[in-house]
Amino acid sequence: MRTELLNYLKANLSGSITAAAELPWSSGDSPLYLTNKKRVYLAEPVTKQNSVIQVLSGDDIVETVTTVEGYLAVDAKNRPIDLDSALATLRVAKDLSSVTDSFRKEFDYTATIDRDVMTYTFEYRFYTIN
Amino acid sequence: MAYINATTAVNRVKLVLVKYDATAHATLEKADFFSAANATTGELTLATGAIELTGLQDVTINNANGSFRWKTLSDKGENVITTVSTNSLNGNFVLDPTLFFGTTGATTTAITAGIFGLSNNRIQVAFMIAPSGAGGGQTPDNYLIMGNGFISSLAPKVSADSPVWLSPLSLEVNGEYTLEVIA
Repeated sequence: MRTELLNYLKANLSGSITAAAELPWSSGDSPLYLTNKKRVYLAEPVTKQNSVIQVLSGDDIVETVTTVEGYLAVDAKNRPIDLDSALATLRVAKDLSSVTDSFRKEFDYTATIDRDVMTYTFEYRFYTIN
Repeated sequence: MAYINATTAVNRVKLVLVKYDATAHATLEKADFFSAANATTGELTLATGAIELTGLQDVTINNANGSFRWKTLSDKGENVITTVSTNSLNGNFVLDPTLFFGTTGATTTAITAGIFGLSNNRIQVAFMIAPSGAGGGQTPDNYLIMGNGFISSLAPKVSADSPVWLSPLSLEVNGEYTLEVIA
């Protein structure tokens, strides 16, 4: 899932805000997205499985939720001019046709301000049935 | 009651259907449904044309005897005698495309017709339900409940909240159950 999202974001975030291929690792106490502002970072996907329908034969129907977290930090004093379009691109990315077999796709984000940095923490969730 | 489903893979519930043949199925026995059961996995080697209904969520075996009651002036309580029973199997299952629509749609066997074909064409079926598997060598023994009847009450349903097709299923039993014990 991360690969498909990253490919889409790299191709469609072409203004001052772009997508980075690296993972959002931390150098010292500072995460990479705080060091490199206006770069979108996607974390490794996290998968969680829930048994949604239990059957007598033991072959339960399992729902798999794959979550991809992402980060974007921008200057809180001078809001980037293309921030809204970048957020729209992030939102549209959840409907990628290359992400197949998913019957429900969700996206949400929160914004927090710490001193002069506004950090968007966003999350994609893809639900599949196995 | 120590009669629990699926303490091992071998003793999980099995429900097998075949197309009913009045001559061949005059006396039902396990060979009408399967020839062998794997001692480790419980997997059945099915008879030709048989369907094993996988994806069962629950199953209820109904054996409802009728009754006739009467009172006499000399007795303090009612008298009762049982009359003919109404037998049926009810359950819910997860739809599998092959099992539901059949391998070809032809009504020659249960596996080709599928559950939908058997119901839609009102084809009589013989069934075998093994409440605790069919492999034998279990304590308590494996019991096979067999009979014949018709599939009804199919109502496949899917929704946005529950994207897996589920359906109830009833087997309206024609006559009595037959019991076979596998030690």
